[in-house]
Amino acid sequence: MTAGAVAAGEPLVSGLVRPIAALLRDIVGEDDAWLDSIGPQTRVDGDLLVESHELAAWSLELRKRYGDRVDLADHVAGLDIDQIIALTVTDVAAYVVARLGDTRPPVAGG
Amino acid sequence: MGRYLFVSLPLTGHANPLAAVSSALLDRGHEVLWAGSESFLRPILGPDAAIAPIPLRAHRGQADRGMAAAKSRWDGYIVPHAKSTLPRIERAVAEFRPDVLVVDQHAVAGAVAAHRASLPWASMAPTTMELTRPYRALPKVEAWIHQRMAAVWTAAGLPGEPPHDLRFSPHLLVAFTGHALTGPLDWPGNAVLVGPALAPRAPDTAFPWDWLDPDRRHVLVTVGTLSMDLAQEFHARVVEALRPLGDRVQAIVVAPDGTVPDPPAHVLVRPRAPVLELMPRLDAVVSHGGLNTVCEALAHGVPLVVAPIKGDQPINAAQVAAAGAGRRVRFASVRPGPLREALLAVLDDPSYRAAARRVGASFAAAGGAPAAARQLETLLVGAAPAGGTPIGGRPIERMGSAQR
Repeated sequence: MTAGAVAAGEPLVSGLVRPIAALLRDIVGEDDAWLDSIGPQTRVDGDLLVESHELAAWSLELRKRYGDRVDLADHVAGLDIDQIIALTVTDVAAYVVARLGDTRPPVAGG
Repeated sequence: MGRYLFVSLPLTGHANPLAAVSSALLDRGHEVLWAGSESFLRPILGPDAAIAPIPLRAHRGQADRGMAAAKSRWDGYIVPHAKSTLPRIERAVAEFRPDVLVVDQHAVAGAVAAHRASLPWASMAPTTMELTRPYRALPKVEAWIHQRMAAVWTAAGLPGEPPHDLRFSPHLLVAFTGHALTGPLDWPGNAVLVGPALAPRAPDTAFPWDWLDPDRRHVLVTVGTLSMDLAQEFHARVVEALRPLGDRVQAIVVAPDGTVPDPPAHVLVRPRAPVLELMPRLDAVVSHGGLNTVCEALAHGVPLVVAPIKGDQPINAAQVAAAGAGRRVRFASVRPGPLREALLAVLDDPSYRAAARRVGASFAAAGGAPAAARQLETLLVGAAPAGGTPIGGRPIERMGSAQR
């Protein structure tokens, strides 16, 4: 089970999946149907086919929205090939929550 | 005159540019032997080519997308292919006694064989995959790839680690692209970009040339070999994108029979097409971004809409867009509307064609297969460096003994 699968039960994390996916939708130029098709276990690489330049742009938007402690590109740079293949949107949400800490609840939106 | 041993992969996009180079070497009076599958190579190389046969062996298929495709490219293809072909390649080295090995970047057994025989060798890059260091931001992925190459080295019975990256010969790297497309990159010092190596292909006498209406624009849609469901799904969106354009556009869609049911009258579906013969009559190409198709289009000044799927295709798509020679769309999900909009943009905005022509002119200046052949001649012992071409003429050191 991935960290994201454990964290999926956390309301803070599960509530963040759609807003962060909405940021990605704007970057890749997709529509609401695409956004609706994203579930907690949707994989960033194999399902959403996020390319490196899109990941970099997503990382930038996440930082703008959730603060400088959130650096997704740096987080992914520390993953090995199997972890990158397995990375889900819930994993990304869990990473964002972990970087925010308890004092700064995420801002819902998107 | 020199003796050259070619080591490629049984993949059309990989073998085609190398075949053009081998033909250029033969024209210049050299001897060439290929080590590879005869059933695969014979139709590409022709009846007179010398081939040291290596039986085709089925390897695990490659995943379709993303990092899973990168992983299976190495674990399911490059590594097992290297291990299974090395003995026959080394036998060809022993019997043919080549002066130089000409090795596809992904046929790493050729690099191992050259090291063991202490022969100079050239890396050939028929894809853009390795040239941009696509995983530079993912150090653990790069380390994982180096472990795969080290495993090939060790399995060959060679001591220690490979002395350098087996994808990059210390003697010469020939890439079939050009600076006008790639933009500034951190090339190895011995890299020579020769542009596309286009070789004439057998004419397609069955193509209905009189179907082409000179009063309409012409678009070629070719996305390589796809699984049937991926192909059907993508071509359905292509046909919807083209449907309202019948008054001004005719499209040739390369797809297996049955992939595109009931195409409209202005869409011609063919299992294969004479791409090079068509190019001078085309106004745009819709492609998955394989380097051969991209470079063939640009060599003819034809702009592209690129829908990349995997491997080096996203890199090529980004380069086409950055050069201004086309638009990039998302293969997996682009809707007919945005696809039509991208196609009409490259058809109607002359800046795309102008940029494609600029890249094409730079390709022509780079010299193609004959330039690659001249570079390979510099690896012959006692050869003078090739005149005029940049950064190729690094002194040749016999590899092997120094590393042991």
